[in-house]
Amino acid sequence: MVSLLIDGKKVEAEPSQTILQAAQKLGIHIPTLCHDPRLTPSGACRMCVVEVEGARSLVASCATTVSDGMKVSTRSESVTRARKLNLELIWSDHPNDCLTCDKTGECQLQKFMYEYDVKTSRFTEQNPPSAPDDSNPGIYRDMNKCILCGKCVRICDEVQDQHIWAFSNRGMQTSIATAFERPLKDSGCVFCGHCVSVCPVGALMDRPSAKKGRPWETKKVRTVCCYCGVGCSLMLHVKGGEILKVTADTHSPPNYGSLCVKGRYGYEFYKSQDRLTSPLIRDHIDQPFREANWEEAISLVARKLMEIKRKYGPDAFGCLSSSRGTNEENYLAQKFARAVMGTNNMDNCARVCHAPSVTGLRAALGSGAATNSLADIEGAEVLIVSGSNTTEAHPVAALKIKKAVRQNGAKLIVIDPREIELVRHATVWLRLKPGTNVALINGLLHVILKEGLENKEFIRQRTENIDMLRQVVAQYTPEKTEEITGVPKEDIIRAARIYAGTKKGMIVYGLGMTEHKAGSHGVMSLANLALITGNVGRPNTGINPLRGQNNVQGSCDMGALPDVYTCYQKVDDPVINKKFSEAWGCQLPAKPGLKEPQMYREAQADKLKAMYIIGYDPAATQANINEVKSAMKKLDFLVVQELFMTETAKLAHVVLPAGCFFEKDGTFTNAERRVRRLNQAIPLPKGTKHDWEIICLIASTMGYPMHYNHPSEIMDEIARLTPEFAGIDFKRLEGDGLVWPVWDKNHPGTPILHKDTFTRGKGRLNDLLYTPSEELPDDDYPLYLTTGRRLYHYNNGSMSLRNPEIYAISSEEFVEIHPDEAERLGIQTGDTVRVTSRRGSLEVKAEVTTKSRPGSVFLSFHFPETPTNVLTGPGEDLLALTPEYKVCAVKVEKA
Amino acid sequence: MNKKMQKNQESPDIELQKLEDYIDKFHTKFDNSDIIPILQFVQDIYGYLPCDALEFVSKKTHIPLSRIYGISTFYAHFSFVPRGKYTIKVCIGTACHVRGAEKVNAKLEELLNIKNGETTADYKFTLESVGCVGTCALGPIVVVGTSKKSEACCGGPLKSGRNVSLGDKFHGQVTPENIEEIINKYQGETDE
Repeated sequence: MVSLLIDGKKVEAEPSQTILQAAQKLGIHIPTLCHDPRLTPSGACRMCVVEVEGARSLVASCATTVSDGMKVSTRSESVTRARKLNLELIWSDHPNDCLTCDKTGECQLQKFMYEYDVKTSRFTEQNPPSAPDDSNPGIYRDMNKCILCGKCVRICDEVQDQHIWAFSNRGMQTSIATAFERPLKDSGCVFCGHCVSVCPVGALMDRPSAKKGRPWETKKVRTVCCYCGVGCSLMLHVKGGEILKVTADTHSPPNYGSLCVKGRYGYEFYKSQDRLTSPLIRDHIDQPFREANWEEAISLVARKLMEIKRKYGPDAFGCLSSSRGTNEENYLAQKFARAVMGTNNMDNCARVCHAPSVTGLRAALGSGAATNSLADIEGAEVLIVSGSNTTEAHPVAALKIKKAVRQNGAKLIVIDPREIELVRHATVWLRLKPGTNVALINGLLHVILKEGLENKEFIRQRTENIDMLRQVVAQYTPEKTEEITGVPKEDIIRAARIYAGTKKGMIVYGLGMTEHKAGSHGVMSLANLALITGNVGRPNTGINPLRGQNNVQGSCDMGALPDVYTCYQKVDDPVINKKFSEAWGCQLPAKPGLKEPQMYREAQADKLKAMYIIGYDPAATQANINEVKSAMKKLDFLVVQELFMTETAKLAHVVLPAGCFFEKDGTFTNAERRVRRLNQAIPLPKGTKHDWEIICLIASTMGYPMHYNHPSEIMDEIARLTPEFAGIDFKRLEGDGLVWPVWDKNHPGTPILHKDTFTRGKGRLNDLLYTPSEELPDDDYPLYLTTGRRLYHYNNGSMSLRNPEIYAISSEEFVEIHPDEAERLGIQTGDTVRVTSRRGSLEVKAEVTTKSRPGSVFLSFHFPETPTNVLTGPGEDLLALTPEYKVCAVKVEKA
Repeated sequence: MNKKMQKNQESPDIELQKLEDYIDKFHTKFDNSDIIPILQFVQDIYGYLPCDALEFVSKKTHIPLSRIYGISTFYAHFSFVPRGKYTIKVCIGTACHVRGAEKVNAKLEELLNIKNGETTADYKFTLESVGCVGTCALGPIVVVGTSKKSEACCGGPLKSGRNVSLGDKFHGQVTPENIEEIINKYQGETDE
């Protein structure tokens, strides 16, 4: 610590801190245009100059570190004169456009001109005109307004790691440009909008909000993004019931100001013309829908469901809720299934993504949740990223991974068959054959145990079953592992040594681990890796699933699963069953219910007669959708609650229009177990209702009174019934929310699980053999098909495809194929090809790329025109029944 | 996406082998200080900075294309368009200016039938102006340089930015009257 005087006030600061930081400590305001705490100082704008006693000239306070005894003046006459002159110089080359500029009111230049009373500039007779360029999706440019602070260049380099902007030319001609002045779409831009968010003037702005309103006219509403499990904090700017733009608060976790393209520009779908705004009903699915009023629709649903319950029993009903929905809605959905219908046939769309995480982590550690927070990623020394194309599926989490590597020197081990973007940052890339995760991880375990790199103390004190594990992995020598996985044995040995050699090793994984026949096993294997090296229970360690949808964690926590109530309290535990039966005032069924895929089988077998599907589109996103659709068509009654006419809604008898996440109060729980408030920003469209209201209406009409005035009352009920949520209420959730478990009203939350003991007592080392995938390539279908996400879209595309800005960037699917196969098949990028599996066939354009592993092709499932899931397979996770989206066999031909 | 596809389909119209060999001789971990020597090499072998070559450099070195572009545009030495075999640089520094550089320039524009900054249709000459070249006593100065230099001239891979001017020839005390003779000398030289 050094001591200095700023404007006569004494302040202590670290020697590495700048004068600006020290002044901020004192609450002294120094104007800046090019400074951002996230970026390395550049000292470009000269607004922050201060006078330092004894210095030869004024210094840039943002780039000058403090020293002991320094005497600084931030408001001396020479400082003020310099700043005024500086403003004049900037103004001399800036359009005098404040009257019509969208930035007016939050423009930093305007603010400082006011502050320093600079009315015009001596250096120009006429200001240049505004030069608007709205040819790019999302991002509006006006390079004449640019003051060359370089923040956009630096944030794109340092935070987003995309390197799109650069200073071009020199002198008066200097401007900010993409390489060769290409349009953003062709420059590699990922439209995260970081550059827009830091622009101090009107040079970069959000295109969709242009000319729609000024900052003082908008109401700012804080909420949570619903496009992935990172759960970024959003700030919605709302005027007259319309969202004008989305920004992010730089102080708010987990994203601290960062957003991806979906978070920033994916907000227009709610006003799409084809939004459902009236209940639709029909007697038979061959008939067209007719509009009905709510009363008629609700009473029809109630009558039909009661009829089916009476006729076929409660287990002829199944309910699917949504990981896009709030905790409160998921809680009510399972309460409806259990208390009103009397069945545990309750599931949610986590079944098709992270159900194996819940199964696997519960078996290993006792809790099916991420062990650490997302912020921990940045401080890890070694990161294993397995089966996660983080850059595209969880872009903001990927920024943390890249920061750990680029700025903090972490070593990155990427386990992925595809050459995903993170491979560029990897120390070791284990490019395994799809579906051989367990074998590969056994190989890593083998090396660690054989070389004695395990944490013996931790294993003895905190785990069980090490002897069996040793026996099983003994056979997975590097040679054998190489044979199964195709990963060179040297890399296996290297990766094992790197991970075992750190006390800050963190595992982050995605659906590449779970969506396999051995998905749960894969998760348990990763847990083995963390357990034998003792990398659990401390900061920057642990095993952390990146959840696909925004509330996968929450929908599971809320008991929207066939065997548990909230927070995994078992339905067949008599004490728990009694607790819930008493609370809900009815005898609840104790037999665990059907998992989602079982529901379709039961429907095919005419045993399941009715389904209630909330905000979920299995007819597009389940595997082998032809089967799923034919099962749905056999139902006597299907109710779907949706925003749009999805593939599933098209098969319904009743479609009930609901609100989207901008229109809701409630809570989401992100991948790090952070429960966070969603705040309603805009009114529900006329004719729609909240999901929770609809459930209550149906339940009440069926004779089970369900009434809440506000979702907060639902959360209060959840807190009463759930020890881990006991301390949670809406009031406490304001701000950045709480990380469960929150044991009582004073408990601060639990960012790190399993600190001293595992939820299940001892950590279980599960001894697992490698199980090959269900359907492997053969002569007829020689290629692996792997499916996954793309950056620009979300799930079935029902929301993301309806955002004009995003649609302008990405509007069609393409199958990724390796040049080797492409050459053999005579396929070039842009060709239309036919992809066929044993279950279905589709046509799609090809992209020839080395991103694909030789022998594998890749498709996303976002585009209705390319229904990828007609192809996907028969395999499913042995324990959780999650479809094996990552492996099935296909052939590709030129169409 | 579509644009990218088209790009990939194009057969590269420039030969990249020499460039690849050159970059391979560098090192494996590139940083910003490597950009200028590489750009000089590119301009030397192609006579300008072809877009495809810069993309290739970016891919090979992992230096962002935007940064390469920014640096390329910063220095007047680099050009994105093919240049003439000879670059005629008319000094318009203060001393040359007062001694009639403008008239020399005008005469050159007339002789070559191009504007300053342009290249003749036969890619023989590029005409441009420069600031002071530091030999004011001899002004007006015209410097004629071969933009496309031979290996012999460079002496192998470039080591610093200084040998850029190795192929330059200075002509002092140029007048609108004697400039034609000077140009004709280059005009008459046949391609090797």
